[in-house]
Amino acid sequence: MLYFEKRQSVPQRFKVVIPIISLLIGLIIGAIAVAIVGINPLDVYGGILSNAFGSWYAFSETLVAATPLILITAGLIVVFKMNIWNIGAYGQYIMGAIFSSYFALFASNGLSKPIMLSVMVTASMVGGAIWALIPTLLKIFWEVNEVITTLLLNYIALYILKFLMYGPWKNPTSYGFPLSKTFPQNAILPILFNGTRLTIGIIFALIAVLIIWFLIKKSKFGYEIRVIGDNPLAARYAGISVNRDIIIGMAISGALAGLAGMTEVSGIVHYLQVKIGADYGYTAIIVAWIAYLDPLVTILASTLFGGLASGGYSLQITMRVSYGIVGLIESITLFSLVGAQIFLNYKLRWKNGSS
Amino acid sequence: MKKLFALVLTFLVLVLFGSGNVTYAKQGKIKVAFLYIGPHNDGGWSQAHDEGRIYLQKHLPYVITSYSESVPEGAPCEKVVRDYIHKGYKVIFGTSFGFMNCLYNVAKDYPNVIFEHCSGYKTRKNMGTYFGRMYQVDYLAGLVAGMTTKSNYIGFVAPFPIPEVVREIDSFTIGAREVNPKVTVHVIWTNSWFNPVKERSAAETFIANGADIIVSGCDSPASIEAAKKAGIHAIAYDRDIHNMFPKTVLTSRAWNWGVYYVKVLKEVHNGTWKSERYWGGLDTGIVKLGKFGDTVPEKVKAYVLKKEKEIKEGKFKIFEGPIYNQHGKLMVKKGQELPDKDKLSLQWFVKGVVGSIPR
Repeated sequence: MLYFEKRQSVPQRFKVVIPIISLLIGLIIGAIAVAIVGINPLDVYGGILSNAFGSWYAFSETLVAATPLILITAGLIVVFKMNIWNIGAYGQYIMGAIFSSYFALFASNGLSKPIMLSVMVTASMVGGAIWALIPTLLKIFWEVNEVITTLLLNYIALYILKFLMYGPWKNPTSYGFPLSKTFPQNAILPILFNGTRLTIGIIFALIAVLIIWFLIKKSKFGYEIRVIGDNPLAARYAGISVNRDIIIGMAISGALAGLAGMTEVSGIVHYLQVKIGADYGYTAIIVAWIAYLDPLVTILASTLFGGLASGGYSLQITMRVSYGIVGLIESITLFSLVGAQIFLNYKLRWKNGSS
Repeated sequence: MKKLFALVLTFLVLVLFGSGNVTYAKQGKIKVAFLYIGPHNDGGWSQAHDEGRIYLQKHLPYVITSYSESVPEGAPCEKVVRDYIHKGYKVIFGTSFGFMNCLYNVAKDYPNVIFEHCSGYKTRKNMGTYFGRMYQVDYLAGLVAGMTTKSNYIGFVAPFPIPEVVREIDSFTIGAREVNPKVTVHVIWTNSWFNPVKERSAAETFIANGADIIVSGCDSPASIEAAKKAGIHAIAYDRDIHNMFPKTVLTSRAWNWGVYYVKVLKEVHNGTWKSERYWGGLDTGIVKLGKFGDTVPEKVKAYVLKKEKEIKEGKFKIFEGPIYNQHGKLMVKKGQELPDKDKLSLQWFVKGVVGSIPR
């Protein structure tokens, strides 16, 4: 019979080979699905590729979508390594957007752009961190499961945003529609390259990745969170302050999700509304896994995902396929990428005889 | 490792070149793109626009149309629009309010592309807005409801407390109470354009309280189905769905975007298009009253059609005073009409509406 056997050690090349093979398997299953509805799968995949990476403009849009993903994922890695499951990046992203928008909407007078943007960046990180610390403290003091609390706080954040948009922050000249006023010029992130929507947000994201990489690989904190992830009890005996590290980790994770919210409202949308792309907070969870919780691989994985999303919308235009088909391919590919990770740590064995 | 890299590279090259056979428009035709907020066959708002697109495609041989469905209102919208423009599309119709800032931003960069935004208020030299005076149809539907209700309790399942919807509720109530002053119109907000669960439960709440007519202001048929199940009547929105519910639906308040799309493309073709804020009424055909339900009496039909004719000819104005608000305060004096700018920012209910506008 077939059974899984745990690998003693994971060969380095497997980390490259397994995702590529599982990506191909996912694409093949997706191709069968597409072929069933009567569309040439090569056209579809070619369409996604050229719409995501085929020109400088397309690639810049891929990076626009990748920016918040990189930021959120970099933060999630820190807590995931401790086996702390922050499902609340969605809400932390929204709180970051709300906190930074407050300054853009009500306190922007007379400030120079660099100062204004620094205030907004700080506010967004504080907002995201606060939203992440609520469930953290509940966990530490009362052992409340953080999966549930972080998830539920997402809804609370969304309803706070809705309340502000339908109530006190609604633009009086928007004919009753739930939008804030447009941000003043000094509250808008500068564009990196003319003709694109790529802002210096992507630079924030790259700096964040470098800092997280340094923290995890080179600092004492990074060593500690690895020990906590492997065996929290042993970590405690070794004199590591587990609670302190969890608080620091969640604060970092929330702050980066909040910053992602800020780069989106200040860099892309330019006002606050109910739909600000907070779903990135859920996508980032998958991206973190596909990136093996490695901060540098995050850049690659987020770019891939950004490409899938942005190429998918364009595919409707070039190929006349429904949006459902694009979503189907994306989901199948993700499923096989994440599912195949079992082969990293386990190998499939065949055992003869009865069992 | 090298082998694997080569394999992947081969795959990518294959895919990239395999995709070269996408067909583009023929020379000399105007390429027109439509953005939908929902699926093109959602049975409501987006489908009404898609029927308009098909109508346009059939009537003008010199246009080629395309659409993108389920386009999110946030960041991805701009990418979709710019993609169309890079592919040579010259006219872009954004069919949801949420696309306003997206179109407004892109329009700045492409002065030679024409943008048409449905239901918004921002315009540029190359960006116009369009909408229909659905309140005229709401008034007619109100007449039908006022003359056929027995319990005098009508439930209005309403999406958002925005002026467009407030206007619909007000004009419907004006119609219903003109023929039956005992009628009260009750409002529940779902805070969503499309949420079958909330729409159904709102309808069921009305039914439990004695409503015998449900008016749908939302985009799903859920409240109509609830009315059918309870054996009472309903008034539909977005499209004429008499065929689906011949006994339940008294009439529909239907959009008919095709006539406007043909008008715009004719102007573009002739080089006479100009940015404007278009707000067409019953006389233009952009809004229309659907087929009457099987149970609607002939004398009701005759009265409603007579009123429709008067509105089309400009002889009858719905928001002409005296009009009182919910609390009995005179809002429009006798002999005066509420000006368009006040209609567009309407935030009060007329007498006879039970419900409130959240602030």
